[in-house]
Amino acid sequence: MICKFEYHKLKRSHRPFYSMLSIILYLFFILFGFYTYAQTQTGGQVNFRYTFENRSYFNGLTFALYAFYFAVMMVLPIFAATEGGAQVAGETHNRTLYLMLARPLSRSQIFFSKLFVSFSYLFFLVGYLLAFALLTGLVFVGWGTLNLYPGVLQMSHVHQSLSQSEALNSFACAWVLASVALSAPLALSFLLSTWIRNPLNAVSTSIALYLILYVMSEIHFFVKLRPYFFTSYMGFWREAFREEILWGQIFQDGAKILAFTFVFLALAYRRFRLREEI
Amino acid sequence: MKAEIVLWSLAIFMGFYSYTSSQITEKHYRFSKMNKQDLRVITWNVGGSSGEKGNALRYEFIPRIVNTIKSLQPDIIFLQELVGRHQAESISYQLRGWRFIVAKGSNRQTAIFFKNGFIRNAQSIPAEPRHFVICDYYHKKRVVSLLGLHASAYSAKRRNTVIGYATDTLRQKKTKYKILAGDLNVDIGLDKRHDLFSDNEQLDVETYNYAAKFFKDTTLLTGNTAEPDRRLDYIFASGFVVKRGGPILNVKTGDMDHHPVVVDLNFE
Repeated sequence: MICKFEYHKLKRSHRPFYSMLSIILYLFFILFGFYTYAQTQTGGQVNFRYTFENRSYFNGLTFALYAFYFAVMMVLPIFAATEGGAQVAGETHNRTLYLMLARPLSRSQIFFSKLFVSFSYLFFLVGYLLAFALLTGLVFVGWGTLNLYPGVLQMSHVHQSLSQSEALNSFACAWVLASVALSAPLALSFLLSTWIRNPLNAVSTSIALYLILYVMSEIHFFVKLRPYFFTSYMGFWREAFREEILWGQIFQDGAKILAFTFVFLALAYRRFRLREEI
Repeated sequence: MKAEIVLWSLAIFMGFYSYTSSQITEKHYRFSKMNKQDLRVITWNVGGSSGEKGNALRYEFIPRIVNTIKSLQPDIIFLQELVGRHQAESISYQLRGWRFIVAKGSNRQTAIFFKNGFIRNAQSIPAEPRHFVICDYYHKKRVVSLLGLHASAYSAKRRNTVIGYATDTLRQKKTKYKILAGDLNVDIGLDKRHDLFSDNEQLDVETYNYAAKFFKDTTLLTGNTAEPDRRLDYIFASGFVVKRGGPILNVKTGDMDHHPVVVDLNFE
């Protein structure tokens, strides 16, 4: 019942609509960039160069992978932070949390229903982006074999060649794994949402924190600090794109992400349970 | 309260699982007299990092390099950044008669040293910014084509041209066994950004993949070969079975910024 209530609140907030619209715009830009780049690289405008790039390399599956990669690392975490940050802080700011607490509902029911709906929404958003990217790739570019080369998107150490069906299976795995990866920024924003009473501040702080941690995990100057940032493991879904998937590696990195998620959630829940509503 | 305990328990379990399942492996090469192989190959950029654009090998470091080479007992050594032929002669003398071929051109030359066997068809091929050397090495009744290379440190386009050209030149050799080794100045590892060091990261990716398409990167996933935390030195080979390999740390001296990279190969 409470989950249904949260679902209706999410629907009425129009956030899903704006997120889906943003994803369409994002994919349009990626498609434009991909198309012009492919034309430049394979249309004879490049002088003598030793390369693996050719017309068959730039297919719809490569497009979907590029779109998905940058979305999971940089676009979707912002949606996750927005969603998580808006939850408890939004209710506090609008003074609707009092009304909820006045009903015969425990704080844990309120907390976990919000969490469940937020995560489900995020899972849907990842799937929506992936499906739309694959469909766009199919319609505008056409599918084919997915070739992954060392260095490209930091996907693999050795050349991987996935047939169309293998690649689609990998995308399906990546949907689930990327959703798990995004649970960490979502949980972080939940934590901030229980501490900060203004939703704007909670969301902006969550986004700023995510970007800081992301940048630090990308630049190798911070190599010693990296293991302590959840952003260092955000790309673990990339392991799904292998001729032989290393499940042990996936479970290991997935467990690290989930450890961060549960720590953030435990702290957030503790704060929500103990705090006084004024 | 119960929910909080469950959340903390899950966090501890996940942390414990990820910690215990991570395998701590020694990536770098460790020398052992028990190791058996048909061919041991070393590549080492022995230049220094002092000055605006670095410097070639200093004479005072030669004994240290010779001692390292002696202790590793290799069959073939690719050295980069020698001052000239006279320096190669000095190393050869201190190694007690190892023979060598050295590239032509200006200073910072590339050389190939070998202990046993003999060499034919040695060529110094002009390239930017410096020549590379290619030859056929006759060893244990087999012929191995060797190519020693030192690519540009400052231009991805030059690297692409010289590595691509060297790859094609070596591919055209009719021998079964081929080795391309040297300081390629290309770093495309998975776990970090490289655009801080390259003027065209994408071109470096393409360059690496062009060589990797035809030859096996024998020291893949064995760690960085140069300071600061970069993998620049490679031994590509075809026709061999790779037994073990990787960089050897803590032997570089003075202002050197590269570690020697070693690989043990067996004839297939």
